Amino acid sequence: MVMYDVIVIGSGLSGLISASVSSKAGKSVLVISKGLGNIYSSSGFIDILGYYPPERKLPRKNIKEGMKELCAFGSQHPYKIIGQEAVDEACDFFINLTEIIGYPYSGNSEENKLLPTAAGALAPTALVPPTATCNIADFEKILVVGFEEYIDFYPSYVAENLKCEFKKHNLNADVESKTVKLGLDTTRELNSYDIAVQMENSQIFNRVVDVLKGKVGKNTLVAMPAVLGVTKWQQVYYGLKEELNCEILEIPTLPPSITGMRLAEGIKDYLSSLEVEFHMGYQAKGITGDGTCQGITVESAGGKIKTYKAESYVLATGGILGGGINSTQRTFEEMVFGIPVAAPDGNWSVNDFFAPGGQPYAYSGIKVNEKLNPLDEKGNVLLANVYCAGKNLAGYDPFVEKSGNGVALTTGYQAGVAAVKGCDRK
Amino acid sequence: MSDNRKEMLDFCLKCSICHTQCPMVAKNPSYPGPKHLGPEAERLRLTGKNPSRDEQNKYLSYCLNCKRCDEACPHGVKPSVYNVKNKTSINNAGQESLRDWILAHNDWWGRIAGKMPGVSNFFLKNPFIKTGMSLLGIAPQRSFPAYKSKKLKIARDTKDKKAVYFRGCYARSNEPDIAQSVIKLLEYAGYQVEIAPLGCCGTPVISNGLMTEAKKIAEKNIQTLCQYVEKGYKIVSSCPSCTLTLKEEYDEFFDIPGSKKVSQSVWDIFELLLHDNVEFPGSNKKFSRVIYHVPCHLKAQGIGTPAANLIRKYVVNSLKVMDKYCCGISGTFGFKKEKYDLSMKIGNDLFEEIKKEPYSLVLTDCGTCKLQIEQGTGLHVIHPVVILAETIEK
Repeated sequence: MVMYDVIVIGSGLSGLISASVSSKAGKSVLVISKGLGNIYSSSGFIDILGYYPPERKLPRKNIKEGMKELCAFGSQHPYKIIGQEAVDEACDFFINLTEIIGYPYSGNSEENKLLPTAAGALAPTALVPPTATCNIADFEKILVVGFEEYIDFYPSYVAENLKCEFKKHNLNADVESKTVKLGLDTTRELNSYDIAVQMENSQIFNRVVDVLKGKVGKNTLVAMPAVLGVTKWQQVYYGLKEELNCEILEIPTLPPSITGMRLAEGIKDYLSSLEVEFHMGYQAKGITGDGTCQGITVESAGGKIKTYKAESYVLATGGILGGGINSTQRTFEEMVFGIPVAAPDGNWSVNDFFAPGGQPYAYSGIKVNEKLNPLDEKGNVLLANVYCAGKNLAGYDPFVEKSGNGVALTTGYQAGVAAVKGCDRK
Repeated sequence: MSDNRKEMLDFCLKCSICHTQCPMVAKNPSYPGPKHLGPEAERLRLTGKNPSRDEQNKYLSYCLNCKRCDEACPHGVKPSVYNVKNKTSINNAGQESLRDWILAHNDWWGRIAGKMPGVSNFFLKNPFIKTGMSLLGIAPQRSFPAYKSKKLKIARDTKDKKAVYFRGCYARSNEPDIAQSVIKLLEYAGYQVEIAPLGCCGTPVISNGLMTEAKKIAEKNIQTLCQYVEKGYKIVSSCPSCTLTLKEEYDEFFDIPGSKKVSQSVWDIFELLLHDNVEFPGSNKKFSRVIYHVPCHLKAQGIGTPAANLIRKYVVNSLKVMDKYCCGISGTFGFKKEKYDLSMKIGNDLFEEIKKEPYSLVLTDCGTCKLQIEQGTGLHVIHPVVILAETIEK
């Protein structure tokens, strides 16, 4: 059997960040994951805190002010548990990490910027990939461009909604839309990934150039769905910018999300180069005793059980959607250790799906201490060498707060730091 | 197919993560992809309302069965299983089915050719034979593996630990040095070794949709291997596709008594050495800058990369592990004339990665991955058992 310093369970954003922190600290790391994380379905943009309190109508400009309110309010919010300093450190770590992987993010944990979604809403976000660095307020004209063969993005719908949003936010720009025909075979439905792969083909790329070249001015922002190349995004994105001589903004799409995918695969390649190992495709179960985790068992092909051991374990398996927590209408179950899941007081859901305060069930999850160790109902540490990160944590609603990737990044970072400290103590 | 697989269909959320991991989708834009060809089409098939059945099914023969979709799914759906099961329904033209049948029976050809390797190798390179193969639909550009025969040395002493070695076609007919290395490693690890009196595991037959015949092969293999398991033997293989088929595919596709018992006793050679904590004398590592291609069917076993663990520890100073790419040959797929170019195109990312740096060694466990990498890069490829076995003193 191989012993590791750190075992990370889950390969979403929080798991990959924990693995990066541990590996960079020189620890041997194994990542165990049932499948690829939800990062492939998410924008990959890091929203830290868009709206707080959750009922707030307008996005927060200053993130830190929101954080202060959040910490003053006596909640179990993960940000309150790890503290502002850890949030700042995690963002710095992430900016540095994305630089290393060649997909450099920009932004900070102070201030939100507003960027359009695929529905044409202006959404607050903090850290953005290199293809979304522009400031939309700087442009006189915005041209929303879609592709005829890509049916998950409607440029005119985005443009019309954007006009309303601009008014709401007292912004001024001329918004127009255009649909470009790429000339692809559409005998089958094409999704964002298919289009992104095709954009790496110079013939298809040139068709876009031919239609738009000379028709967009220097002060125009061209906003496109995030399909400008998968692995060769630099060639496509910067190539198009140069050809059209204007700023280009990628808008994250419906799943599969290419912006999320580039981030995930970039980090995974980096981890592989640091000799981090991956065990994919099977459900993990924890072995516990004496208040610690003693190992992880994973099924392998044919049903043979493999046991892996480490000094520290990071539980980054996600919430209900990610598969870390299984729920019925009356029960919650944490899937690896059977850690008790705190359920909301009162009703778990409200009838209005888009209720301004969100859905109560979103606050369910694992309760943790400041080291991110899981706690039982009475507040005692359950497993001293296990650190929890990401959506399996209790006490926040990522959907209304717009804090999903922010909590995943910062708690993933903090769990990684705690896991490394846990090894060093021994 | 088990009822469990039918239930699993409902877990497909259509997130398309599998679609982004499919090597075929990336290089063949008309291929519908794992989500559509697998769970989506299967739902329609189960209701009996699949108007585009034939239209869809022609793409099934393009599924590489690399299982990257299965590993990618966050919800436990296995698209490849539906594809393999439905390959039986492909209606090929007569010539194509003859060609597929010929390729699926590489076990037989290996047995015949292995008897007179010199003559066979001469004929396989002969332009007339190549033309004949081309007429049958076999890619003339494809280099065939050379046949080689060798008498294997096995120790006769009796030991408590016993292993039966399932050689598979490649280690038997093409590269007996692999078989000899496995025997050497097992004996070093304290096993009494026996060679299983069996031929093909059935992978090429399954991947060409010949399920009735595959079931017969499975029955024979399970029956024989069960007897070994009952006598306390561990079943060991050095070919990732054989290992995966013995571990998982029999149980997945055929209801044969004893298949569970067999599957739980099957070990990849490195998986077993690592499990037994076998120590090797490789104190002075001989090689640096080595690249290791992880075959898809090894990755799919969910055992990590035990070969890399041991090679890193005993033989190699710096090892680059590449598990990102499918080599594109997919067993018999890359031998088919109309699929050859696509097969090379899929492998190209891996070839480029290997050619990027002057590696002193290129390693992989799978016989057909090896052929493909050699064809795509011109470099010699070695099975990791060979270099690990070299560390053992005579």
